[in-house]
Amino acid sequence: MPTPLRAGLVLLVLSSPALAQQISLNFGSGGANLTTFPFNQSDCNSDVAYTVTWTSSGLGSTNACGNTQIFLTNSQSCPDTPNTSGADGGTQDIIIGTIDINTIATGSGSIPPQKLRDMPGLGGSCPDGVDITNAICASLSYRATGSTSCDSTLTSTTTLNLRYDAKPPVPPGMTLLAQDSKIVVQLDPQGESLLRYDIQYAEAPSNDAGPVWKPQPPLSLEATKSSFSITGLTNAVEYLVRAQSIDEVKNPSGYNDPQSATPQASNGFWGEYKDAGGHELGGCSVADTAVPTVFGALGILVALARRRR
Amino acid sequence: MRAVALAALLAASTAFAQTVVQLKPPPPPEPPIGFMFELKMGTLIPRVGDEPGLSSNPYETIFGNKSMLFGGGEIDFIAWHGYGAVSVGFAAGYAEKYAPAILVTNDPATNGTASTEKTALIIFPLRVPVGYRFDVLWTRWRIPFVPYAKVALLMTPWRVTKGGSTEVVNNQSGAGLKWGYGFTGGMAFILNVLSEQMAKDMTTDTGIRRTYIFAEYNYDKLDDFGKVGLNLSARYFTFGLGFEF
Repeated sequence: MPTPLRAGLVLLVLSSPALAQQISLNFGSGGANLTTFPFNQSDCNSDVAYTVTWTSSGLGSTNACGNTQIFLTNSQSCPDTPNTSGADGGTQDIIIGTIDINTIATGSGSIPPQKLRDMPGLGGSCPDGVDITNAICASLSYRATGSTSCDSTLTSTTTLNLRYDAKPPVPPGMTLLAQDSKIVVQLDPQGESLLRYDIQYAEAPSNDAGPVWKPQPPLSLEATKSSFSITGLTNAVEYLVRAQSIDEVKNPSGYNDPQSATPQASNGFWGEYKDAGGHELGGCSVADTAVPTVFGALGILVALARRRR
Repeated sequence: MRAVALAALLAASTAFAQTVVQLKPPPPPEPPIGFMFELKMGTLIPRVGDEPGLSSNPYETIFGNKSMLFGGGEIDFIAWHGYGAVSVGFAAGYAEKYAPAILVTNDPATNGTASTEKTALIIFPLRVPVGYRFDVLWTRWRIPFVPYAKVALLMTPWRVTKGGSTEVVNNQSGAGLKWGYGFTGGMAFILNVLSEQMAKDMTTDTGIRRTYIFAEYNYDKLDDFGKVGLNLSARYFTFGLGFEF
């Protein structure tokens, strides 16, 4: 091997461990793609817990200078080290896991389950109408390659977030299109990030009794879609329609103001044709034997093409 | 001195003769068989109103005088090549037309007005054509025009939609299959004449011997061979680009 190439290879091998020193965090359930764990007031009140798993590489007794700390901070981003004194006047960060040097060298592990309500932003309670996000971080003091002092700090490559969402979404915007025996409901999320919409309808009452909403449970439309057809309605009857937004943690918005629409019979081309006295019955009418003829011709073409090659 | 000049003149003459006299290879003979592939488009209005007994033309009622946009492709096998060429092939196409459905109400103010629902007539014309192409003008005299004529068996699946799904009236679904026959007459313009060298390169590189554009008139009789019912017959022009290989 030429000398410059050999020198380059040696340099690469020496520098690889330095590049590989890292810690990453994941939620115990949901896989590596889940970086935000949202939960609602009900989860909070029910003392639902979460787990965090960690993986590390390039770390051990040769370069780790102490225990790795996994902590919850009262903000959406991670500081280099946990603030456990509250000296800055802010809320103390909460250490939720400590990994010693021998354990960090094993490359992976998990911390004990933690209650969602214990995140710093909640302080043990589950208040109404707030939306709070706290970050889960990791921090380790270590010796950088070529250094003898523990003056470097390694933080997690991923920032996990716990999101307490007790703030109901805004009801959806709604437009109704009256069609033949159906009403098309077009919904607008109003900028909210939603899970789904719930839709109900009722015949417009002829007295003060109030509408009888149906169905129960409501019709459901995934928030990735924006249009839903309520079918099987009676033409020339006025209907009321209402909808509510359900956000990612299943907080309901409450129903919007009902709107009314009256389905109307209509003729498409086929209806107009039949109304004009058309005799067509549809379907395959004549000479079904001609189907093999067409496909036979296709077969002949293919055979001729192969023969030519 | 004279001898030197004469020798130089003779040498120059010989050199001149060598540059002029070159053997030009004869054009390759037309292969007896081959294929043609065509892409075509046009517009058509089905003659729905030709059906006996209709009180009105439902196509005009819904779509007005607007045409359906048609696009399709055809592949033909050249079965014989002598004085002209005889081919048999298969063609498939697609045409559609959308318009608002019409409200049917007891209120004179709204009856007959446009609904928010769309209705569509969608057809998938399929045909098995047998054609004759008088390409002697090109092969013998390099006149780049090829008149041709075809007769075809037609099969056209059709569908009517309203609000995105097949329209059903009195439990009869608006979809079916129509059979018929058709005639086509057209003229192709051989693009090879525009650049013979490019045409030769294309033949060498891709095997495509001719490239042509064409215009043709179609007379399609699509009424289940005279049976009274939805009439999708049409008379229309199509234009396109073709390749012979």
